[in-house]
Amino acid sequence: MNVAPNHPNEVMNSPAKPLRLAIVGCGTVAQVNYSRTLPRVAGIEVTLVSDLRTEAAEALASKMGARVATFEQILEQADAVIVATPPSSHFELVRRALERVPLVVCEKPFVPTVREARELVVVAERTGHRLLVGHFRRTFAALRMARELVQTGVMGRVTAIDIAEGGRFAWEAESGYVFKDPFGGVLFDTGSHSIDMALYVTLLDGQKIEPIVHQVVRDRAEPSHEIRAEVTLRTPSGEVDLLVRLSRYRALANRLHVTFERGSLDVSVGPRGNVRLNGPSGSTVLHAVDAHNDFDLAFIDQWYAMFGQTGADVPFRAERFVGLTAVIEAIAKTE
Amino acid sequence: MTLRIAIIGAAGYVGLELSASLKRAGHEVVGITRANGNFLLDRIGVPVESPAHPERVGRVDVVINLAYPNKGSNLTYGAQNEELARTIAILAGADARVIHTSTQAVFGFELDSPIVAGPVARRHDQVYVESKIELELLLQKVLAGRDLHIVRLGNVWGPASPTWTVALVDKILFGDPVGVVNRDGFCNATDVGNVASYIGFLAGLSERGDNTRFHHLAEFSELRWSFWVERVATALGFDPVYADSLPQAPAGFAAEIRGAVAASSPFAVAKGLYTSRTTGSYLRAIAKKLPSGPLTKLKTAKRGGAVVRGDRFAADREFLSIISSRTQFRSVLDVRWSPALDAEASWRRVETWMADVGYVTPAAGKL
Repeated sequence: MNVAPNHPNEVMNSPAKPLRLAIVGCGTVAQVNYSRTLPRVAGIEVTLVSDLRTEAAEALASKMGARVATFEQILEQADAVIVATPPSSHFELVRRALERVPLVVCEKPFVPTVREARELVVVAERTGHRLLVGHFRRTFAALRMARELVQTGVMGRVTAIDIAEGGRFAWEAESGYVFKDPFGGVLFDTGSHSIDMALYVTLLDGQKIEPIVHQVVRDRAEPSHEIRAEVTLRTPSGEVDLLVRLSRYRALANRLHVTFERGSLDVSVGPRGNVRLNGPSGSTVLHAVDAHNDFDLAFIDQWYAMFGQTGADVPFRAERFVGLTAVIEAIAKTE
Repeated sequence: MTLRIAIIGAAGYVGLELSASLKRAGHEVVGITRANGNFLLDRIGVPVESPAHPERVGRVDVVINLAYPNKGSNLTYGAQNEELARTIAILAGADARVIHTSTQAVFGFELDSPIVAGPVARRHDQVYVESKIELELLLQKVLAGRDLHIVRLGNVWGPASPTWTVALVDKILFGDPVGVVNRDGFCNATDVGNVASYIGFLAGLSERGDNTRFHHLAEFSELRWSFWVERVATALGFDPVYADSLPQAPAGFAAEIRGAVAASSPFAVAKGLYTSRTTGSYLRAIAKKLPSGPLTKLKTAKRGGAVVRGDRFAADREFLSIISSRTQFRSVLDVRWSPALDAEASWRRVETWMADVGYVTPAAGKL
């Protein structure tokens, strides 16, 4: 497979031989987001789709000019596969796909436990196949800019993270997993996004994380719809206090606030392009020049990074989400 | 008197406040909502029914419609409006009162059409405006001679109001403009608590009408936006930012087409034209009569080149023009009702929400 070395928007493969991509799980994210964006990415072609629900598979196949197939047929024929099924099925499907398919993308949330996350990373290493996780918010310009600011080290060490993300729930998941799947609650569904953004900005996503959970308040047993968690993250670079507030009932501040030794920053959990830096003598706002609020473009950026880049710094490599999995698992298991 | 009330759109921002308010007043409330709204209403003990089966609701005394088309292609909004009108008619049966919430935007986002507390004529405008006018006209036709109230709401303010409160707080937090220098516009706002109160008042009216009555609700319309901006900015501890001029949208065919074709992709051109005020209105009317094939192919055409970035200020333009409004949307209300929340009480609720939801960090007291 030929890939363009650097520029995410260059043609990745010979137009005569595009990457044959399959989709397993034809729910809302595939019907809405994938169908609109994958056709706009040069060098790939969605050839096969699969779902336990025949109607959903046929609908997606029709939208994308693909063929309905079984999972086994996909493993035989695809160059790459996206697993977009409900979270409780991710581990088994991804594990089987990694044995046979060179490139596997697991839709977020990755898998429910650290044990499973590590096992999948090991399978990928053993087979030489690539495993990526679809945390597309890592493409948001302001988030990338915030991470670059943290990399400069001028603010000092991270001491605390405060995440608040909530809104009246409007996502119409076809499978209903958000209400039925034990891993479909706001912690796994929304929290996987926002906690990942926090770890990504603060450079903790590449570090070993031991979460110590102090308190969790939730509206009901998982899948919960509102949760508040106080955690300490033990990392090689020190301890970081983490406060997580998530809700499907009401709007929260929808921002990530990071405190450093020498100031703090605020970045939106959405695609807003600004970062606010707060220091002892004042506050300023930086604007990312390549910011946009188009979710389709964010998905396209993600696809180009996934299918067009192979280096160690690809932000979607699965080993970078083991720490996130540890944090979420620890919160989920705390009564 | 206990009423049996069906609310279409009960899981929305206004819907949840209204449902809770009517329940507290002792009424029986049934929510008509799509499946993903069920758990929001479960939490406040409101039973739900799907909009696909209004006949299952049974007899009601009042039907309140808060819904409007906002999903899918805007070429389908006409069909969605007709479906909504049918649902309302089924729920209303032979004699239920109907209360339909509309918007001040039927007079244009910039309130540049004459404001009358009466029927408005169909005209070419932004798709949202056209759709709202169309639904008003449909309901007047379908429910002619019936007890119908159309309540046009001003800018709905209040804790967690997504379009106004959240937008304003976030713009101040992240340094985006919250107004235009030297243009402190009329806020034309109504607190969601007062919206619930007024609709509840109308639902409980003892006298029945046999024609459509129009109401305009914007009890804070006299206030300027600076009233809210200054309070939010003080609570956050950041100075608000203002634009030095109001971004202008292309007006009329020639300017809109020039603006749209400046984009470098067929998809962006189509999108730019379809969403423009004048050209878009005519194009949408034409497109509804075309087979879907050519338009679908245009939207999903593969492109091997660079991806087009949209204009990040397009959304700000609408916000800024509304927030700079030189036209006041005065309330036209039943004199027997008065708002429960004055402006200071409304602000205190917003301030409390800001503290509750993480705009103010627990340790620092301010961001």
